[in-house]
Amino acid sequence: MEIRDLQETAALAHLLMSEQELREAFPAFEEMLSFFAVMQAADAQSGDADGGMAASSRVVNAGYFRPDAAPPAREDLSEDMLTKAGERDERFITIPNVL
Amino acid sequence: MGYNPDKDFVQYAQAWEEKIQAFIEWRIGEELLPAPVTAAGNIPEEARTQIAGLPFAVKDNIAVRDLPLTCGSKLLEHFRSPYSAAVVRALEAAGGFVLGKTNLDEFGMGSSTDNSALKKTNNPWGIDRVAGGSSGGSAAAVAAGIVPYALGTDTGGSVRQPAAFCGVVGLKPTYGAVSRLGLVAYASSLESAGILADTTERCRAVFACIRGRDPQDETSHETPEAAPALYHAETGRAKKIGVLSPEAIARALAADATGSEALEIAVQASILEDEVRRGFELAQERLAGLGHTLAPVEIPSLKYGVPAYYTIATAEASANLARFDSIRYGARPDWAKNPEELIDKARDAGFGAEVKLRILLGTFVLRSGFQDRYYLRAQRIRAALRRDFESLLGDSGYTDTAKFDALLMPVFPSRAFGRGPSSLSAFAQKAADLYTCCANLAGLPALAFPASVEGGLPVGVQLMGRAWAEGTLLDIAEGYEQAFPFPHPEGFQAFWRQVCTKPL
Repeated sequence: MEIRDLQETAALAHLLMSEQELREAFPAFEEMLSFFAVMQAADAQSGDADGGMAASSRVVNAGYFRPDAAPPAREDLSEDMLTKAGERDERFITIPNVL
Repeated sequence: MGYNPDKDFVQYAQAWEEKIQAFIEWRIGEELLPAPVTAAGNIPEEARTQIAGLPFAVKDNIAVRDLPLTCGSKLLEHFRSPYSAAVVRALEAAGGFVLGKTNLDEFGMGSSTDNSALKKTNNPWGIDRVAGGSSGGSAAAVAAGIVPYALGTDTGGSVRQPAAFCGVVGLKPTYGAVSRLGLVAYASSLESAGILADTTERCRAVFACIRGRDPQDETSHETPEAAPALYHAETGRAKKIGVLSPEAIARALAADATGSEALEIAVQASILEDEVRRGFELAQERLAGLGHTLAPVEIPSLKYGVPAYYTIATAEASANLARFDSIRYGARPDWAKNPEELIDKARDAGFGAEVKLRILLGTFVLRSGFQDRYYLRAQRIRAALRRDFESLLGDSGYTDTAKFDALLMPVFPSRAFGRGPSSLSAFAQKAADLYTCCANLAGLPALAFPASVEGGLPVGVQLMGRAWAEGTLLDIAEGYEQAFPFPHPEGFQAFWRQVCTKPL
């Protein structure tokens, strides 16, 4: 796990975090992930005579997950559209007189 | 007695509020007339008399029309709700009325209420200590006697833990027993509206009023006919209570902890403080003395409960909190170059550090390549936990016989903790959720009530029951309360002991 992974995750989550903020969040993030890793031991129980954890699972299909990428709206709504807009006047867009 | 904002009470409430800071906004001193009772026919008379004409407080992630709905966040600091949650409407229809909105950890994420971006709430038993969380404002308001009961939400213990810290009753109902319409979602498959009350009787009355199917919440259900009655159940019957051994859980956790610093902290966080252990043992003695049969039980899958809980909760939070983008909800930045920047800026300025951490975790566990390792594995553990509990308590369809009527366990390993360097770390607070989060993972009802006072602070214990068996849990706790009345903090005055006995 590197800070770059956290940076990518923050971008996917629409969290504009500064490098400083990411560095501060990183230890807590890593601590939680290493805590989550204990769940791996549960898999070892899946072969138990009583059916274990795998046998009792009623979980969602992995195919239902969202793609790990920015939504298409990101491109459609930002640069492309804005480059087709009229000229800018500071925070405003100048609309040419048509009539 | 109905709500009577006379000088004595107003002064009493204001003096407490100055010390504990339970409310984000309240209407103390205003002449508030209860709404006409419109649902009297649907509610048992015993319940109505505990609610009609009395004020209640509402955690500020539950909608009340024209009042704030901040969720304890800067992002929603100026947002006011255009409608009321189903639970609030049900209580208003029974003659109750809202006194104010209470403080909470931002979006319900925390165990102290110190994660609120708006204010810190103090414990009425000692203002240098936290009230617990995330429903800390509601618990503190009830413990101080400002309101007889309050609504909270419980995603992983957020009603029961502050109830234990403040010495009041806290009920997390069966998942689906109460409508979630009007609750700001954090982890939809885990959370439910809950009750914090001054007495078991009051808690039962409020639950009787708010439970039931709501056509606007497809996850809500009516109580099955086979479930124990909430009122007029066979009284006095001794119950079979399974006792979960905290030592066994700590040993099981320690077995997996070798080489992991995080797990070592989790093991330490799971060990009961001496005072909590004494309170837990006293509760066992007292329950046995009341005629109940107690027997030890073990739930091996419980040691995976907290990581599974935080995996699922953060994953759901990452999706639920996507709506706070300043377009649908939330304060909008002054300007942005494009919609992407608008969203990013709003979320960066609006969310606190704990919320950002949980969104990051939730996004990460759902990323391509990591879903099997985290989210799907957590779901398998959740299913196993539910099966383990059902093997002891019976299934939700009432098709089998239960070995136990309820399970007894601690609520939290410590009493209300203080602030500063000696406080529990943020990670230890999460790890310490192990006794509460399992009820949310399994969707089962759980009731926290004060067992004793140890070292000047209340110690709560928790009963967990079969799905839809809130009545059984309340019966056991009510018997305990009758024999060992619940304690109150110094300065408490009982303004709400009398109840309205005539229709308003």
